[in-house]
Amino acid sequence: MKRGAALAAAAGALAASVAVSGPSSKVAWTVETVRLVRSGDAAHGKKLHEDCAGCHGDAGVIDTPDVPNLAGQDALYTFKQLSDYKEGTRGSPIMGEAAKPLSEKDMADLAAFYASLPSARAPAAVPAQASAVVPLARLGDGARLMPACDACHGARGAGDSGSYGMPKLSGQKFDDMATQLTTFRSGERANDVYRVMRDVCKHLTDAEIAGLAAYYSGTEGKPPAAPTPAK
Amino acid sequence: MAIHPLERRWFVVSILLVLVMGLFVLYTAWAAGIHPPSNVEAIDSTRLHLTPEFAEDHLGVERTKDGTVVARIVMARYMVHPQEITLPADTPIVIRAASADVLHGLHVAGTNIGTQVVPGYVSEVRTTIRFDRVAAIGTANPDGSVTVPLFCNEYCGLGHQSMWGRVRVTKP
Repeated sequence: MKRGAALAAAAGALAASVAVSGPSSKVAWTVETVRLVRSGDAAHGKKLHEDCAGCHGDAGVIDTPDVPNLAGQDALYTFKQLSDYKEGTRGSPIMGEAAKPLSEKDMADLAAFYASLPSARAPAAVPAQASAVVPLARLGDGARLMPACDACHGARGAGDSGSYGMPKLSGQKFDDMATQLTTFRSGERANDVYRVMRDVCKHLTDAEIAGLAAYYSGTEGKPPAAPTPAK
Repeated sequence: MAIHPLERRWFVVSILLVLVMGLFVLYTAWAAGIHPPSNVEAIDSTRLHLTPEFAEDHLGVERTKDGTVVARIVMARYMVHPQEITLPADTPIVIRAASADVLHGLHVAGTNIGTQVVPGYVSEVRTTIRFDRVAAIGTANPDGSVTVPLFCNEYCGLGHQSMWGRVRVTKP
């Protein structure tokens, strides 16, 4: 019995190690893929969005704390996340199912639709909780080999059209942002090519995660409890 | 054929200048080991993470069967992957670097490792790190190794100054 349990555990560990090896995302920004996303049909995307509106809101904005706002999001980023959910490189039971029936063209159309919506912007004032992390967000930290968050995500997360697939962070929710940073830190979320976010987040303290979530969301909150280990 | 004396003097001066510059190039090439890497090898930079060689889990330092030490590095705005590597000193090493996006430059302080990392190509440098040279400028570690910075020396965008890594050089 004990032996059987140990064997099952070993098999589980093996399955987990097989699951994590391989590329962290199958999306590559080839000319064809970038063209496909840039030429997405927002009108068709709007029709597809009817199935998503329940959680993400009619206009891509919703009050639910741990559901991201999609309105105004960078189209390449949305496309990549949908593709990663479908391929399983970003794990989520709900989004995995939701993305399964989508074709590449559907994902490009949805991404174009969300990019066309006006985004929820963070309030201009920086919350007090974020004041300590402003230098980190703007300049990075050389001692910990951390690049500035704003270098890729744009000034205060406004986005950077020159980088492929970097999300806008401005106007996201405190809880969702804190969850993403925490799960990158633990490695539970691992669809960042070349471990970019995992390598940055592994240095972050709980207080810094809360500060960064406050900086980009414009609202204060509590850092989330440690997430459950990756399945 | 008549040559004006002033013209003759200019002729001598210009030939001397060419010789001096030639000697300078030869001196740096031989004494300091500085010469342009000449590897021409194409790769699709957009699909770099899907190639076997530059896959995420395959980066870093590997000792091949014939004893050569190969370090594989990917440079992408604005990080060097992996961020920290360990290389043996006074041992022949091969650096293989590729860019996932734009033009970068790979430079390791205290060594002659310096190459452009051009998107679409694999940059390769074959060299031997001299321990005395890195020890002269690097940070000494308690275990006797020395850490020197690795950085991007080709302006690549707004986060260029963040593109740092560390190379720990161990005694052979």
